[in-house]
Amino acid sequence: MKGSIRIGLASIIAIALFAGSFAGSVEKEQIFQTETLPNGLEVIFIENHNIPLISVVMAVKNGALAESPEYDGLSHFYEHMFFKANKEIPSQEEYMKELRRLGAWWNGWTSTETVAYFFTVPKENFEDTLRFMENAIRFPLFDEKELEREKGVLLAEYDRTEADPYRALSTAMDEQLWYEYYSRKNVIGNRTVIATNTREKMLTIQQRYYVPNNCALIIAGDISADEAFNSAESIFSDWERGEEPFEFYPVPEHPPLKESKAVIVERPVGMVTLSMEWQGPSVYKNTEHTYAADLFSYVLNNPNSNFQKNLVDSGLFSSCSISYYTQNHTGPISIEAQTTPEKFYEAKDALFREIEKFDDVDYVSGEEIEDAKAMVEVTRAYELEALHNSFAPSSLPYWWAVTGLDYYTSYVYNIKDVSIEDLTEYASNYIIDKPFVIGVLLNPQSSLKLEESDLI
Amino acid sequence: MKMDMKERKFAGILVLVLFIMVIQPVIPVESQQETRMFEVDGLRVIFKPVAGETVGVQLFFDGGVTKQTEENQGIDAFLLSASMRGSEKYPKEKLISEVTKMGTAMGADAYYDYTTAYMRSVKKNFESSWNMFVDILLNPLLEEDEVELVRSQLISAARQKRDSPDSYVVDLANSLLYEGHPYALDPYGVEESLRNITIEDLINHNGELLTKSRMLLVIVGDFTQREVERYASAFASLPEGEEEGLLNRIVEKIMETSRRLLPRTSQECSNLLGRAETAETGEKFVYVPLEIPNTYVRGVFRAPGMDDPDYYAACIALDILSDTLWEEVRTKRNMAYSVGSGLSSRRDNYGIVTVTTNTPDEALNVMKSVIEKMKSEGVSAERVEEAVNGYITSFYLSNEGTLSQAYLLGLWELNGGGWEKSFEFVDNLRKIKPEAVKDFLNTYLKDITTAAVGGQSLSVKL
Repeated sequence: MKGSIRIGLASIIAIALFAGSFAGSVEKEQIFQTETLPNGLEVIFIENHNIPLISVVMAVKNGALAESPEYDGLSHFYEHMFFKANKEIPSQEEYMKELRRLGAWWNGWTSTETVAYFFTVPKENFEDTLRFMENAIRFPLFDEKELEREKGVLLAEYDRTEADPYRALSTAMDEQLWYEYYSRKNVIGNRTVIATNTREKMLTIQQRYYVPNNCALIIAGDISADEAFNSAESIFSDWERGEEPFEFYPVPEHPPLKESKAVIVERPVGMVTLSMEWQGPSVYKNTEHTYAADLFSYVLNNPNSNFQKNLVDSGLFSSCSISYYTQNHTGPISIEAQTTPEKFYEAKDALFREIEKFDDVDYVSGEEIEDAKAMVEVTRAYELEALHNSFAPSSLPYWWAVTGLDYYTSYVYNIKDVSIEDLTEYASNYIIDKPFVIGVLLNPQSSLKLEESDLI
Repeated sequence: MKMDMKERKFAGILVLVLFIMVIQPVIPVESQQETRMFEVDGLRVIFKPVAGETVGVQLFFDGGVTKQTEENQGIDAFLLSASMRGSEKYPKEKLISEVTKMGTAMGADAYYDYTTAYMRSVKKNFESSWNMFVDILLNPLLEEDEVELVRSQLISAARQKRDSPDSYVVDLANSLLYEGHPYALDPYGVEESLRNITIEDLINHNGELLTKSRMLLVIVGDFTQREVERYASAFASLPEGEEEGLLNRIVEKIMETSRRLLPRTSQECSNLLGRAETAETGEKFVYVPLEIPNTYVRGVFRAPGMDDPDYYAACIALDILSDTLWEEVRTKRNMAYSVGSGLSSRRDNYGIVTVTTNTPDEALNVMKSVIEKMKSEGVSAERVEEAVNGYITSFYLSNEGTLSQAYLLGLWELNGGGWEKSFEFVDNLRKIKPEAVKDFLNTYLKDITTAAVGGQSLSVKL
C-alpha cells in the first residue's frame, strides 16, 4: 500500500529524532513511502529536494546465499552482465555512451544477501533513466561474446581479492566457519565456476531471482511522490511476476561449528593480525538477538569499555574491535585485533580472558549501554544526510534485502529495549564456550613462529 | 550493523563493486550566495549556512608536510590525535562518554598541504560538542600513557602501509615522483620519526601549530553569522603567529623544490624501496616483485593544481581518458578489472594512470596507444560535453553532508585560489573546448613515472 503521509525529508528526520516524545506513536520511523505493485515489485520512495538529483536503484534478493557450488560466484558475474547489451542497447560501449548522455553516477554491487544497481542523474533525466533501468533489469541479452570477454574481468577481480593479505585470512577462516555451505557465503566465488560460466546459467539466475516479486525499486531525490510512483507503475507494471525464489530454492541452514578451528596465513605484512569468528544470529529466526549483537559491539568498541581498556589501553593490541554482520541467514560475529610478534602470546591470552567475561552482568555498565543507545539514535541523522552517496544506493538495498524495511524503521526503538541481561544472554548463546575459528595473519620473516595448536 | 559498499579490510565481509573509482578531481560545493568569509579576532572563518540537523566543522592547519622534516614527519597527526585524548576540563573518560551519547564525531586527518581537526554533530548538541572540541585543542593533557598509546597506533598504521598491493604501489609511486620534495615525507609519519617524537616535542609543536595565521575554520550548519562569530571567538587567545603570507611562501618552497627534481638513478630508486631488495629499477621506473597473481601498475605525472587555469581541462581530459581506458582495456580486451586515470588535489599536483592486470605489458601497450591517439587526434566536442554532464552530477553529490562541504570549502581556499572559485567550477568546466583538452594531454601527459608491484615483471613502461 502506498503510504499516506507525504512530507519532506527534513521534517522526517526531525520526526525520527524526536519521535520518542509523541505519546502513543507507532514505534517506527517514517523515512520513506512504499507501494507494492500487483506483480510484487516493491517501490520505495524518499523525497528530498535539497539538490536536483534523483537516484534510481534496483535491489535484488540475490548474492552468495543463493549459490550452490556450481553457481559459486555467479550472482556477482550476473551483476557485471547487467551493464552490458540488452534489447534496446546493442553493446556495452553503447550502454556506457548512454550513461554519459544521462550524466549518471552509477555502479553495482554484490554481497552475500544483496545485489544492487544504481544510477544517480540530474532530475530532468529521470524518465529516461527509469526506462534505462527497466531495459537493463528485464531484458539483458547475455551476449555470448560479451560473456566470454567478461570472464577475464571477473578473474582479474578474483586475483585482486586473492592478492589482499587480509582477504586471504578471512577467506581461510570463512572456509572453516561455513564448512558445509561455503559457496553460500563466498561472494567472489570459485575460479573454475567463473571461468566456465555459461549463458544458460545466467538465464537460470534471471528466471529464478530477477522477478519483480524478488526486487525493490528505490527512487530517491528531487521529485514528487506522485510522479515517482506513477512512473514506476507505468514502466514496471507489465513485468511478469515469477515464482517466489526462496520458496522453490530455499537457503540451507549452516550447521553449527562442531569444534574450534585454527588457520595461519603467512604474507609479507607489517603487523600480526589476530581474528576470531563465531556463528551469530539470523534475522529470520533470532531477530531480537541481532539488536543485542549490535549494541554489544557498540559498547565494547567504545574506548571507555573494559574490553578496550584491558586490551588496547594496556598496550597489548594497537587496535581491537568486535562486530556482528547482520544477515538473514546466520551472520558472523568477528573480533579483529592487531599486535606485534613480541606481544602476541600475552595479547592472545588476555583476549581469551576478556571473552570469558562477556556474560558477566558487571562487564558492561548501564551508563555505557545508555550512551550507546543515545548514539544510535542521533547518528541516524548522518545516515540520511548522505541520501544519494550511500543511503539510497547502498544502505537501503541492504536493509530491504537482508532484514526487511520494518526492521530498519523500528531499529532505533528496538535497540532502546535491549537490556544488560539481553547482552549477557547473547554472549552466552553465541560466544562463551562456543566453537570458533581463530586465524592469524603474520609475516613469515617475523620472529613469531606459530602452529595451529598454539591457537586453540 | 550497517554495511557500506567498500571492501572492508578486516571485518571478513566482502562486498564486490562493479568498478573501483580512481582519484576523482575535487568537486566544489554548489553556488550559494550566503557563503561568506570573515575574520574573528584574526582567525579566518568560512561560514556556509545550510538548513538541516547536522553541523560540519573543519579546522585547517596550513602547512602539512611542507612544515615538517624527515625527523618529525607525522607530528601534526600525532599531536592532534593525542589532543583528542582529553583535556583537564574534559578528561578522556568524560570526553568519550559525552561525545558518544551526543553522537558527535571528532578526529584529525593529515594531508600533504595541511592537517585538519574535524567535528560533526547534530545541531541540538553543537554547543556542548564545540566547547569540548575547542578545549581539547587549546588545552590538551598529553599525558604519557595516552601519548604512548597514540604512538603505538600510528606506528602500527605505518607498518601496515605497504601490506596491500594497492597501498604499496601508491606509496611507491609517490616516493618516486616526489623524491627530494617535501611531499616525499609522510603526513602520518614513518616508524622512525614516530618513535623519536617526544612529549616535549608535541607540547612545543602545539604552540607552533595553533597560531591564527596557520588556521582556517570552516563551519557549515544552520546558524547565523553572529552565532558563528561567537563560536570562533573561542580561539581569540591564540597567538597570531609569524606566518603572514604563509601560503605563498609554501607554494614557492614547493615550486623551488620541484624545479630541482632530476631524473633518478637506479641507486637512488633502490634507496627508496626499503625492504624490497629484489626490485628492478630504472629512470622513472620501479617494479617490486610480489608473490601475487597479478600486477598493480601506477603511472604518475606532474599536473596543474586547482588554482591553475589548466586544472579544468585536466579534469575533463583525465575523465575522458579514464572512460576510454576502461573501454579499450576492460570492455574490449578484458585485460583488467581496475583501470583508469585521475587527478589529485595537492598544491603541487599530480595525475595518475593506473591498471591492475596479469598481462601488464599487453595492457600498458594498449594504454599507451590510447594516450597517444588522444594526444594526436584530440577529443570531440560531444565527448567533452558528456564529461561535463558527469561532473555536474558529481558536483551535486558533493553537496551531501555538512562535513564534506566544510572540507571542500577549506580545500578550495587553501589550494584552489579562494573558496569563491569553487562556485565557478561548473561554469569553468563548461568553457573547456576540445583544443584545451588536447593541449593538456600534450603538455602534461609525458615523462610518466611508473611504479609497479606484483607477480609479472614489466618490459613496457608508461
